Amino acid sequence: MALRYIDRQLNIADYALSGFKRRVARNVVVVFIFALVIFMVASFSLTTTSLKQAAGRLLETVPDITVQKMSAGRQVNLTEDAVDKLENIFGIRSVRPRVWGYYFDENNGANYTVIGHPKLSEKSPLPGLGIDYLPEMQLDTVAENAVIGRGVRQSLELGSRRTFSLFRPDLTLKSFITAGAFGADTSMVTDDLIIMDLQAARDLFGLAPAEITDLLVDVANPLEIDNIADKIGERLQGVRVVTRERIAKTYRVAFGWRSGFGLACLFGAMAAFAIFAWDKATGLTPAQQREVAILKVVGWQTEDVITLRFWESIIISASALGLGYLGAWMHLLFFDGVLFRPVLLGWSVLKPPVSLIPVFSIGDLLIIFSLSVLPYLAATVIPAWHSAAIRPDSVI
Amino acid sequence: MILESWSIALLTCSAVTIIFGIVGAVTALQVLRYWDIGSDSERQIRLEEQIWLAATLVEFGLVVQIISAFIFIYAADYFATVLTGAMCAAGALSANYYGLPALGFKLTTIFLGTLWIILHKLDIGSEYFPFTRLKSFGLLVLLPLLASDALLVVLYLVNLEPEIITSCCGIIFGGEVTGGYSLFDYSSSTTILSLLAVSTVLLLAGSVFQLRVKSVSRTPLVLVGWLLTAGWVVFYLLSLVVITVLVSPYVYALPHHRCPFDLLQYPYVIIGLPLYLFLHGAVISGLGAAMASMVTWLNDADGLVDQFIRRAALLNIILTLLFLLVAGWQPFIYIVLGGQ
Amino acid sequence: MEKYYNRGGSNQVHALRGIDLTIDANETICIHGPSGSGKSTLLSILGGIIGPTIGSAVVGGKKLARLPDRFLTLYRREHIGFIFQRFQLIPELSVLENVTLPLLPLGVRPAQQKKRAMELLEKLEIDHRSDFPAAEISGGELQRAAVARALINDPSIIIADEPTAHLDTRLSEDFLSIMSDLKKLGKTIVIASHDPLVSESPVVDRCLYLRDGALAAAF
Repeated sequence: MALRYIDRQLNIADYALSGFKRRVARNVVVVFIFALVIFMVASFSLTTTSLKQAAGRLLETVPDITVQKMSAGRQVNLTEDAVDKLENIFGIRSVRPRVWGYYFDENNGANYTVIGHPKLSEKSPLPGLGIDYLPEMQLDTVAENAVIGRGVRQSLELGSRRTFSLFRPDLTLKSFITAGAFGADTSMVTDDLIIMDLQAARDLFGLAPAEITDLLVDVANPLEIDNIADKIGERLQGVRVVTRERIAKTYRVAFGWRSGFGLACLFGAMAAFAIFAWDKATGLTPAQQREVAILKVVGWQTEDVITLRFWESIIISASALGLGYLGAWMHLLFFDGVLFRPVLLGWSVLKPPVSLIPVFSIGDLLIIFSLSVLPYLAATVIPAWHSAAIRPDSVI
Repeated sequence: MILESWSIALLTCSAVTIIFGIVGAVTALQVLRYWDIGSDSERQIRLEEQIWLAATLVEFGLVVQIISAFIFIYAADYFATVLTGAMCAAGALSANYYGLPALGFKLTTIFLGTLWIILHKLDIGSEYFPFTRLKSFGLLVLLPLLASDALLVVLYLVNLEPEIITSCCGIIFGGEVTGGYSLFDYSSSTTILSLLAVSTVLLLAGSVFQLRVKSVSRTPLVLVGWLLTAGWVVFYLLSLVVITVLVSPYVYALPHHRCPFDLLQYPYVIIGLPLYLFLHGAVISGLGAAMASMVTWLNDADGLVDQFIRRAALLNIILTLLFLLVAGWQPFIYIVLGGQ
Repeated sequence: MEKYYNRGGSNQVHALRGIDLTIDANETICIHGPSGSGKSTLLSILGGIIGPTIGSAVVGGKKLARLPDRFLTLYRREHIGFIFQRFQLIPELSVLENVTLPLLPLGVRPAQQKKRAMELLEKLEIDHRSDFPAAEISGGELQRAAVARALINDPSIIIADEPTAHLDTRLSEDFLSIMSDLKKLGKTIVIASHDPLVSESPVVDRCLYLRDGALAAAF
């Protein structure tokens, strides 16, 4: 019984395929438009997933806890003695002071992110950021070591030069020499980044000797992060304690709602297509009506004709899904998702060239299916029945 | 969190099922009003064609509801990553009052939709279409359930707030031992298991009884049908409790990880999927046979209903035993064989 | 039996009145009558396409009263082979595909389908045209293809509605020759036709005259 059911389905599917080929011009138009809609939905979905993954990679460089001082709702500088107040909290592996800020380059309107890191002078690796250190260079003037991102190098038009200068607040120049380069795969994080020694950063921004912008705390046991964050909040007055997980959630929610918003806008396109599909399915030509009547006279049941229409819809959906998904994949792989990135990423003067890698996930496929194939199939159900309800005696 | 991709996918599924439910209900009303199988009128012929429309809508709607249920669970799993405190789908679904009831309504409509299709197949097997009016009542019952499901999903999504702390499955299903509240306030696992064992034995006995349907008269068959219906509902709920509280910790090899939903995630899906398939298959075949027994009082001139009862009862016995086998496998390995 | 269309309505049509008819197995009947006399309606009822309003047709022991369409179709599949006035083949499909159409919903596998169809096409001497689209074959070949399609399920009853209306004398005689062969195979044949070639053919055992939905005396 089950075998006969399968044979019946295969026969009807085969007939549907031959019908598809017979009316290829009409069907190709439908497939093309459908594939376009799926392409948009899939691009959105794949771009979002890819960005979430990229954000995940970014978060590997963020410490477990970041402590910042707040005053009147804005971030203000701390002093280095805050380190001592935290070091004896049980469970903290290390507390590092940091100076960071934005340097505005008037020549080209670019903002660089400057981070002063105590470890740079030791030439030890920074968490999550591989640095390829360059050989030491002898210079006539005093120059600080700095590691700069690719975007900064291009913006400063360094070419093969290793030295550059930046202005202090009092408009005096501070000289730097590039001590190394970031790994290529960190471009999303490092493109606009300059890392230098802590004291050098203080000097560049004109900060007082013991001033820092925030504290980076690493915790021994990840399960204790929230507890330790609470304790830090109790020990230091007026601080904002941000955990990595909190940042991760914020990214997920941001991408999530942006993606949902974009999809909601695409919904209009999908709805229009569903109406188009309904219209196409409802308008049977006299030849098609005759065909159904003949089928019924020679012994096809109403349910057989409905099954036929169902298979026709499946063939169109499967073709469109394949084309649309493939197109979205290529859009991401070869064109970096250029169509929808602005919606998801927002704008900045120096846009990091994020390399988006499409990720295959069942969840994404389910979403794409529900937002494209499902409405299409739903739109064709009633017209399918309608066409199957043609009376056989109409052909007599 | 209504603007998440998962949310929009869920809402799309709900919209489709509601529209289908409304169209189905409209045809149901017409059938209830005008149906006359002996008549030759245009209207009667049109109504007979509309039965196919209703059947197609229910079949398609059922597939959509099943997909929607899977989406709901995977969505909850995703939401768990943005909700504070939730570590898996169970926590995400408990983040507000609407999550678990929404899932409950979804599963109910899936069961009822499947039973409707079984009834439809039995109906069209007879020249007299004896169950058409009953089917139409069924459609009128399905619509409010679908609407409730959709409403609860919307309320769930709208009331999901990432800032509000929710609980994880260890707390929800843990009971007094872990210091939290428990959704399943049971006294001991022995009680639950005993109840399950007793109900399984009774239900299997009922199925064996139904195997001999040809030699049984109508009234006892109908009575057994009613009893089995109630019995299978109880069995289903008990099984869910047992899976959550007793079986899943052995599958995860973690005493406090009591999540019925993670069984559908890799790598546990190898056990989880057959487990749930066998459970739902057993319950649906059991309910199907029970329902068919109940409707024999309406008509079975063709013997088709009897044939179905026997087949469904046999399938039910096989699936129930398979379910018990899969459910007991991991606990058996730990308790009897001493672990992996 | 009686057949009404739109019974009780203002546009009621009494298509068949008091039809009292017996057709024996293996008999070949011709139904004769002017346009609008109810020939097509009578054939449709006998062929299980529609049901009667009052009364019933009993065919091979099976009562065709007011049955749901599903059961009429099942009956049609098993017992009836229909040949239409304009043959009603699907023009874009090949002859083979047209002939095997009735087999598809039965779950017959493609190899079996081809085997059964080619056997019939060989007997009807159009096997060499099996892969040609129906739109590209001649009138006589269309006729034979239509007969093949009607016979693919090995029905016991053949019903033909004005089968020679669009054929010349030679092709009409060809058709009658095929009917004669089918008669020898034990089929029951009902032909509705104006054509004197048919009504006066030795193949036909009995001719019935239908006028205004009622049967006149047989001749």
